[in-house]
Amino acid sequence: MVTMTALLLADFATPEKIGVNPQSMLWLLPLVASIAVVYKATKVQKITAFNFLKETVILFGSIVIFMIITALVLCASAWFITE
Amino acid sequence: MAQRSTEGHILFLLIVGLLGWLVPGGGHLMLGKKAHAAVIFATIIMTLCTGLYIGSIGVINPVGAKPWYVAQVMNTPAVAALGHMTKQGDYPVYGRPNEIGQIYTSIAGLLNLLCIVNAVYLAHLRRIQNVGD
Repeated sequence: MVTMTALLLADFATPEKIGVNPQSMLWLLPLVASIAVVYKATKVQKITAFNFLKETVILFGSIVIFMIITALVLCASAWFITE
Repeated sequence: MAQRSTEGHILFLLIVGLLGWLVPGGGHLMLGKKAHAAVIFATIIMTLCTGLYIGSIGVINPVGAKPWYVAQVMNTPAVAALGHMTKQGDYPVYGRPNEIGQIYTSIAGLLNLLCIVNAVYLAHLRRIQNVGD
């Protein structure tokens, strides 16, 4: 038990290895999910599993789609400026 | 009587806000919104722990990253205790893990601030409705 606790604490004392590559952008997805869940928790009057899940998924999808569109616009702008 | 009632109401709002800061979701729990409190608590703690796991507790840096620290401390006062541990620079963290860890922990703090404001607003709204009745 003590060893397990020590190992668990050690995980929080050393950073993970995350490279600077396009895949590292996927770390935004859990964060967007958290934002969607907490935002919807403050907005809905009553939490029921199906409705809450539906609302959260819609918000999650909206944020991700908006971010993809923004990224594409920025990419296109950068391409036009540099080419 | 009305004056005392107003003072009591302000005190109640302060307690709701303080409880929401001490434990994420605590403000909603005090208002009897157990499901909301559970969802808020689980999500904010998981986001905070994910950030600390990715970047280590070194991402809480009250000396070198003060603006991030202000957002991080909105999670819970326990973050301030972690900041006290890390301010000597014993847990260095650089690059992408530092960025992602700071973003996760700070967003978790700002989400908790949103929940605190929401809980205080709901408590105030409840009082207005009671007076209206």
